[in-house]
Amino acid sequence: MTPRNHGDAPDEGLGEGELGPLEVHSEGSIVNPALSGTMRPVRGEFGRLENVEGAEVWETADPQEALPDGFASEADEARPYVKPKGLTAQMFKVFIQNRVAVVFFILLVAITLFSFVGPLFYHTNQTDLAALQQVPNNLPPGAGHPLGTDFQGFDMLGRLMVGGRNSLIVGFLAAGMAMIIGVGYGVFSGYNGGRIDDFLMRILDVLLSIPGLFLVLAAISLFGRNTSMMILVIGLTGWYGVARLLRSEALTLREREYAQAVRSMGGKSRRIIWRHIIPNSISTTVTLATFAIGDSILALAALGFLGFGIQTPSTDWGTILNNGYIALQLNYWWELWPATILFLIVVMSFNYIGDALRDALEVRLRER
Amino acid sequence: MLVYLVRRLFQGLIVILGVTIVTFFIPASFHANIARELYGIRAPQSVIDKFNHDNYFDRSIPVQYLHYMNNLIHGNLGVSFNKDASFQSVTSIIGDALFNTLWLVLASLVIALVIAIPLGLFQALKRNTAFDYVATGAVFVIYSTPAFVLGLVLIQVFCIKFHVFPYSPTVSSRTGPFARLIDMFQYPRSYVLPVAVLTGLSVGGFSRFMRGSVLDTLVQDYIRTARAKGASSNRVLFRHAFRNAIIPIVTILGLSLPSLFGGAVITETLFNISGMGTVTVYAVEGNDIAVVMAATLLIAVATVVGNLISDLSVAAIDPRIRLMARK
Repeated sequence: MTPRNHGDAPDEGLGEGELGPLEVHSEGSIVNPALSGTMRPVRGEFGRLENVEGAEVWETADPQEALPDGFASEADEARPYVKPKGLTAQMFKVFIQNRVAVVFFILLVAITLFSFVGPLFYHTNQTDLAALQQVPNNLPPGAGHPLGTDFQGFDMLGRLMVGGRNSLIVGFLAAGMAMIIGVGYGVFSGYNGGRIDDFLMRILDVLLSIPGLFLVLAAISLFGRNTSMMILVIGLTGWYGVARLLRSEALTLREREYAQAVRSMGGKSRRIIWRHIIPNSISTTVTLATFAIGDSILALAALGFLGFGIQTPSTDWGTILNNGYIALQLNYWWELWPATILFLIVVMSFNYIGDALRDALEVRLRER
Repeated sequence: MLVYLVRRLFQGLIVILGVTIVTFFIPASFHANIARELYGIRAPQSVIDKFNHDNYFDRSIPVQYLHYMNNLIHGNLGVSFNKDASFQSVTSIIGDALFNTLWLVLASLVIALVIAIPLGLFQALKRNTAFDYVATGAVFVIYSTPAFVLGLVLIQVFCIKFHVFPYSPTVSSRTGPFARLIDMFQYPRSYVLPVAVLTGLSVGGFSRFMRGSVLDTLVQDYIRTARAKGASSNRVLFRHAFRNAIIPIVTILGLSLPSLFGGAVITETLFNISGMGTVTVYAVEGNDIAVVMAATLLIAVATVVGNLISDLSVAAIDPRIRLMARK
């Protein structure tokens, strides 16, 4: 029932106008927005099309110019076509209403700037262990060292910047890797379904029953502790949940009308996946990515706390916490608590922003 | 029920088999170099060859895997690859560590449930009130606080600032699987902090889930029917809503095990408790991949068994599943 001989060519039978206005895409293919689902008019309270504030109004003075012959539609009457607010804009609107999430977002931006831009203005020696012989260790906060020095003589404020930079970079890269693997695995499994899906999900069951921390520790004892290795390992153990959720997303999306329409027009699986399934699950993906970054930062910190973090003279927040834990018994509070607060804010930010994004996504679904 | 039991057991076995493939193949590519690292560059080739032969490292990978599986079935987890451990068996290194960790995790699970179930229930009943918001906020903070940060705060407050609880748990000279369980009852005060850290890991998730589960149940038709028949609100709540809302929690119990075992690694390190976490961390420090892999395998098996128990309990308490399975 699915003719595949047409390739990606639009079907001539469409375009009677009852399916709504057609869009001409950049590469010349014609996609009906009502079918693709990526663009749809925002409906008002009574189900009418509404001119949403800030929405771009499309010029429809002469739609025949843009459309090939035979595609003229009755819907192109005098009423201008209102381009719906994009997905991002809708989500942003809901997200911005969540005050706590906005506060956390601002804090997160501030900490990111502190870690990356801070060292440009606040110069400290964070690399040269030999030069540290001149600096007293475990110095309480005071002139010259606003947050004191640590057990090696490193300036704590500068140390927090270096640690933050490394933690954030590792977090982002590992999360990016986890997202690519997770989305790929999940969409592939869910789209294909059947035995492939069964098999891939059993593999996932196996991986899910091994706590990630143990696998990461195993990798460290085999490959040693270099930073790129850690990014790789944290990324490789962080994608299971993403794959699960994207798989269920793909399972439902592949049965949607627009996916079936592509199939009936002879569209290839690759097109359905890239043009419909992945764009339609982008909001889930963004939410999951937020959690993934938080989780990766946490995973690195756990390693650091166990003493397997990024090696001296560089550092990460987990390693700082580990050293601070030892200092705690000596009451050197400045070596532990500032780092703890920064780290906690970052982890909570990613959690809360992820939650807020999920709410924003759910509101969008409810409006449908 | 029996069919369901057998099928679920079979699935569990398949997963454990999959885990052994992971724990075997990750170190397998390093087997060739292990002897050289253990005995040093100056060791005579004959010693190296003998070690490789004794450990099957000179055979093909499938034969090595079968040997590994045969050992596992006989309860032999292999030999430690740590020079200083002088070729102790992995089983003797791990010893009762698995049980110590299990007791810790179980104690925290019980306490987490005792807190989370009433809290979630009450939150759902008083939804969108000040109490609900405060509880949701507090739960969120605990939920997103990593184990080691929570542990550090607790140690600072309860051990260093006010000497309420001792820093490290009291350990008796008892041995055997139940030793730490008995210790927990004998010296409950010294186990408060470690158990509290692990409880903090799961209590947030559980109470959030419980709140959602009760809310889902309260809008069901059978609740309306029960109300319409004139059942008192307490009866509706406990006989109808609560019993149905509790079922998903049992599933979540099993699913939370991997993160709890991960948290146990941190907790044991923080409070210096001997368990799977500390054993693994020492093994990683000593590059002892055999112990790390055995620990991973044991934890994975514990997770699978835990999931199995929780699934079977769900089947036992949920008549829908019980009856469906009978067909």
